[in-house]
Amino acid sequence: MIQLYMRGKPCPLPVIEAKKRLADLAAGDELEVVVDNDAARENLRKLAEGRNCDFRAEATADGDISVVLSARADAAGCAVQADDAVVVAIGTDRMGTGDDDLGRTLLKSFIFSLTELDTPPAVVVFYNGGVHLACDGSAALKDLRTLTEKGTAIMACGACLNHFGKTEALRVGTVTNMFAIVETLSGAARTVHLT
Amino acid sequence: MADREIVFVFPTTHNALAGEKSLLMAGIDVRVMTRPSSLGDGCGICLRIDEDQRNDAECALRDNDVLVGGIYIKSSDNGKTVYEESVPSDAR
Repeated sequence: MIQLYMRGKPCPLPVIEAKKRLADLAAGDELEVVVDNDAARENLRKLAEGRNCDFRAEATADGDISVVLSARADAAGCAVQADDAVVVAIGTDRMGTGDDDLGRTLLKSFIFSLTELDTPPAVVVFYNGGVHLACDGSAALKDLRTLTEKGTAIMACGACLNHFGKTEALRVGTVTNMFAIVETLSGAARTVHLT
Repeated sequence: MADREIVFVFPTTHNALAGEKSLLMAGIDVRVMTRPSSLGDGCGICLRIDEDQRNDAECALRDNDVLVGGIYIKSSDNGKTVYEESVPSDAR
């Protein structure tokens, strides 16, 4: 069994690291991921569903959660390309320059198009003006929720939400910090930046 | 079939942006999507709304002289997205 200790690691690092290890699983192999929160357990459950792996979770004596992903013996395992962890970083509420109204609409269209990908991004990170898209009143909320249902983790910079007075207005995703954003971007196989 | 939506396509981007503004001003929950290639050529941006807001949406677009290129009903059939062309309500 491959073991991964993700206690104390912010979302979505447990999923990103688990995806990398799943590439090494052969049929019948198991990957144990120890996490310390229900959100991480649920994200791993969605990952297992998406990778045709069996999933089980149980509490440990330390109060953590042991999640075990098993490559099905009748399948080709959970083999996935280790380079499939795409992270999209959006630092603006519009796409491109030239016409701001067009730019805002283009970005909404971009987010919709992410939902249509066969493999949605592992993470979408919002910072600076991008945080508005995940907040109350955003026309992109429905599509962002669709992304989360497909296993994408949504993160919004807490400092940015605070700056805009929107900490309580976040409607999709989790509040994060720059450390977690840097870790997420550094751990990604590929990143897409909209600035 | 779950979650039917109404999709408006437009001949130009200006019409699409004007349409979005009109629907927002009318208080309609409008979402942007990329125009699927199966819905022909024209502006690459189209708008979608919940089916139950269709009448209000068509009125808002008409009242603001927004030129609409076509109306489709978007639904899901066994996991596959289906677009069915629909006649505008004032033409029925």
